[in-house]
Amino acid sequence: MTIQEEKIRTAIQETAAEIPPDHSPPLRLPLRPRRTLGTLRRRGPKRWPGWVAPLAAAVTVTVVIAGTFALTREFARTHVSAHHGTAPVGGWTGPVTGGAGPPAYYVFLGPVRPGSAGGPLPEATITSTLTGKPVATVVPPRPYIGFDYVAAAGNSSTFVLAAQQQNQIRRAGQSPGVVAMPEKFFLLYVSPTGHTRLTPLSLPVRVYPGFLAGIALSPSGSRLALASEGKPPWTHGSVLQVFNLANGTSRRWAWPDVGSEWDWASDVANLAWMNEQTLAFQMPVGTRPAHSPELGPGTVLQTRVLDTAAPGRNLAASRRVPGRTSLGGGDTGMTVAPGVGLIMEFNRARKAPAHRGIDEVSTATGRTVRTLGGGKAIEAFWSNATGTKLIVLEENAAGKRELGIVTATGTFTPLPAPRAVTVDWQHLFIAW
Amino acid sequence: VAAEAVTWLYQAHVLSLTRLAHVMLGDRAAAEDVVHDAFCGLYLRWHHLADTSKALSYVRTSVLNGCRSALRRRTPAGVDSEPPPAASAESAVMAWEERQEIMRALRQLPPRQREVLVLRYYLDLPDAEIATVMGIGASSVRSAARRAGQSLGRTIRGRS
Repeated sequence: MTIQEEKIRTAIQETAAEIPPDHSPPLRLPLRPRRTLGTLRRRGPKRWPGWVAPLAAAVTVTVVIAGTFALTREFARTHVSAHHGTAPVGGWTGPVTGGAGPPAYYVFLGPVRPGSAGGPLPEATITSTLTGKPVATVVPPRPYIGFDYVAAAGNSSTFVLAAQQQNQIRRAGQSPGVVAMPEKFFLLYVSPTGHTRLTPLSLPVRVYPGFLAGIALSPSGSRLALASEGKPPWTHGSVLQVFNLANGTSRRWAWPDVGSEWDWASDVANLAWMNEQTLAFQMPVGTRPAHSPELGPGTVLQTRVLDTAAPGRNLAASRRVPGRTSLGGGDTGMTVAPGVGLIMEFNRARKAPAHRGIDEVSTATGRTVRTLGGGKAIEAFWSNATGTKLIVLEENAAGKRELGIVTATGTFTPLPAPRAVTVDWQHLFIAW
Repeated sequence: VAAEAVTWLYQAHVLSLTRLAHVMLGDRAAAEDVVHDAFCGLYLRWHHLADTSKALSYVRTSVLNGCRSALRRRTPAGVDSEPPPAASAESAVMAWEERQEIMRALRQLPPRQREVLVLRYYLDLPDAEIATVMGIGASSVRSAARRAGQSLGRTIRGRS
């Protein structure tokens, strides 16, 4: 071996040795696709007949061309007002697929410091669902001072974070002030081994802190829904926007400018994607009287479903989930089982303070399909595609809150969780 | 069976493959991700492998492919390792700098040349096996190694 070869070998070997000998991160094997009868019967390698490939290629080309024409015509007819993009939004890395089991990670924004409730939360902590241990902590890059919202795609590795920026200003003769700047959105990717990557998203939107009412990421991570309040008078200003991160297009829905029915529609919130096309959301539609026997005074929420592929820009065209209005309240939220499109609505005080539960609700009829959580769950964070397993926060007889997995029969299996998640959960934003 | 076999293979080879990816990428986190993805891919395709005794060769190829993809995606800026402590001898510092320069030059080589050198000098694979892993002919392995050696030789000679 020459001296040159020896130098190259030494350089490579020494670089390799930077990985210590005890390096052995855990292997997380993915769920294997279920075998079909066909693959079980198959014996030995099978080859397609030679004529299949050219035929498939011809069919594919035909379908793509026809599909392109159809989509182009449809888009031109129904989405005239949409933002026309042709490329993925900067920072987006592609669609994702989720497994059937509980997601490996979740993200919560925190910590909540005394006096800071309601303000931006300085860190996003990626936590292992099974161990409850933090895997990584992410802070927004300067000049952003904290995160306001987090939303998760269906694979527990892709998240979108909304970050807040404040600029210090000084005016002559006045004390220093702070000017809020528009929210910035970041894509957070968590690799199977727990490494994180925070990438800014280039979204054509200017939403100021306090006007952002919620965000939701579709199961594949390719669509970001955003609810915001518009300009004064805010009673008519609520706006829903959906950004297609894959092709850069966006759509916008607003409430009609007139009509007292929508006077309360200024606070669209609790966004949740039921599938890649349908978005569920809740909005206040009035107040309960102070003498309300079941719930006491508070805001009454209405649950609605928006087909984001249907033409139109009027949010009033969204469909109300019948029968779910009066059960709402300030303590009501929802999550969604993406595969079957059921809304899980928790209800802390439907009849009495001790009565709590999570209802699977039919979006078609508004009726409760089944109640989960054994009457103790106070919030549902995640559901599998069939609604038979949920990650919930329950309160035991001693008043202590526990995070755990609850099955359709009400069996609760506790999961270890950081103290913040069980104690400060009302002030945190959590996304699975 | 597949899970057990892949887990065993992972435990036996995760270190060498992560080091291989680290040499290729110069980024430990990215190397870990590439190796993890390769083993997940092996697990999903286990029942489609014609010969499971060649699983290591398969996963090596997957790691190399993963490194290529990672290199295509990222910016050209390399990630250098930490220099030795200030208390080190001057000769150690010079050796470290030389190593960094060789590794920088190595990572600027075309992918095929870089892979050949790493497989030859890190895993000590014979040319025939390098050819199998890379899916090229043995003569291509030799010519790629020769060209890579010439490029790196210029770097090393320029330094001395």
